Amino acid sequence: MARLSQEELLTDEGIRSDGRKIDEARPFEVEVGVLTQADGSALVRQGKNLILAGVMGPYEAERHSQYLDRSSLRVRYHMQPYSTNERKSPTYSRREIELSRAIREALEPAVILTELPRTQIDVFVEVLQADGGTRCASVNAASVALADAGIPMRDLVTAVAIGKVRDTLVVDINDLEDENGQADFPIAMMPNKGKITLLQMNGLLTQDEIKRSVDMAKRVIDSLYVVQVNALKKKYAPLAAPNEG
Amino acid sequence: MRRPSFQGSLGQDYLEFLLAKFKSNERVDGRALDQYRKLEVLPGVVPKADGSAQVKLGETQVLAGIKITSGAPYADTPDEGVLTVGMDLAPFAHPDFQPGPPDERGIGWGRVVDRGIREGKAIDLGSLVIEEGKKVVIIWLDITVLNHEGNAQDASSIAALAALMTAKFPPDIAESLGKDSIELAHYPISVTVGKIGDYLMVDPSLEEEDYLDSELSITTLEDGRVSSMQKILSGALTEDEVLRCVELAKEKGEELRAAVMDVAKKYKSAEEKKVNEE
Repeated sequence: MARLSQEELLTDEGIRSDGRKIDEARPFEVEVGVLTQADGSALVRQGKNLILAGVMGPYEAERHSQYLDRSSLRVRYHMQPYSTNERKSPTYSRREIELSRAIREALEPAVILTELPRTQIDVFVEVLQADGGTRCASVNAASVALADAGIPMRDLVTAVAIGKVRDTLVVDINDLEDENGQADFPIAMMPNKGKITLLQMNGLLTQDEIKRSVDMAKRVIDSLYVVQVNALKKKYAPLAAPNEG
Repeated sequence: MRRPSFQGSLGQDYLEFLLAKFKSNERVDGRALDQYRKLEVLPGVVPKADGSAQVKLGETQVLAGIKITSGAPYADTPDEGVLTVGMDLAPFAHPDFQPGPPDERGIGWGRVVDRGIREGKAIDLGSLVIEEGKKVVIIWLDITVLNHEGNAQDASSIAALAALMTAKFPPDIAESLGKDSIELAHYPISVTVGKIGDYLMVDPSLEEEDYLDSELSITTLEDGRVSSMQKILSGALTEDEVLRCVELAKEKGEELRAAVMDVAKKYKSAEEKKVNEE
């Protein structure tokens, strides 16, 4: 990983190392239903992140993991060995376990689990290429895949990481900003409900910076949400259209 | 909902339906017995990898990624680089696939790819030495099955070859070796032939896989030699059937190899053009 100074991360003119402005998110693309064996799937490109989420289920849960009143949601976040700058060992890491939990808990408030008692829903996330903010991109992919699987939901979940470089807040940080910056603040929301479902922070922020970060995140999340919805519409709107003739 | 296996739900009747089709050289999806599904090869889908290729064989999807590093050679081969082939079955690729290390089936697919390349001497490992006994090039080839709709074996073999053909050494390794990509001496391609009843069919679909008595994967090189063979499942093959499989592997391997080489060539010249323009 390249070492960059704060001045290299943000120029005097307010331009970031990849040419973006401070409030400019990376290119974001969503493709729905790219797999045939999964019950729902989505491929997300967020910057150079390439993330594939597949949902299996709902299916009857094993006795020991059954809840009588709701479904149990399992999430597994996994990175491919070729997804990172340095080859990642295929052994499942503590970081992958931590992120699996963060992603699961980001999604759970949006999924109406009580509609599907005694079942299990598996969300599998494969990081094919990582570029900073993989947990956010994973949440963005997973929530669309859940919707594609027809799982009842209160809202989609949309996420972005805010960062701090050269004492300035910037949105949707990439790998270099994550590694060399002063803070990494991933936030996921149910955009229509205005509720925050994932919140972590590494680094140093003031109270005022936290307030401004959430505001900045909200604006980006609203724009990413439109892309998620449009991707779902692209697959499902033709099916919903009335039959001609 | 999880799909019930065809074997369980359709049983004997479906088998007879399949056999009746085979009799007139037809398959359920409209193919002839010696016909592959549509093949699509997409090199460079993971730019952070040193080489990568996504393969779609019908609805089966496989991704191969390569990372190239340097390190110590094995003690018994101090004058050779190292090739390591890993296999991963994404848990969304098939309801039977579980998270974690691959089962015997997944290991088997990876081993056939590995042996096809290694035994075929496709990569001259002797040319990947930076300092004999101390520092050699390590090629990490990792294969991920993303969607299993049958014959992940051949899709993996094709993805591996396409990734190797289009891989680039990282700058420091390119400098110490004096070349920028892996020179392949041979182009191994596996062809998988299934057997149901007395019929042989190439590139079995998932539905056909449920009814296979046995399956034979044969890796051939461009000169017609065979670099690996693997028979799996509980059925048996006659000597004549084995020889017919070898014949099929040569013929179909040639078609597949030509398709991969064509895509790799076009990709490489497009890449070169990009570099020249920069």
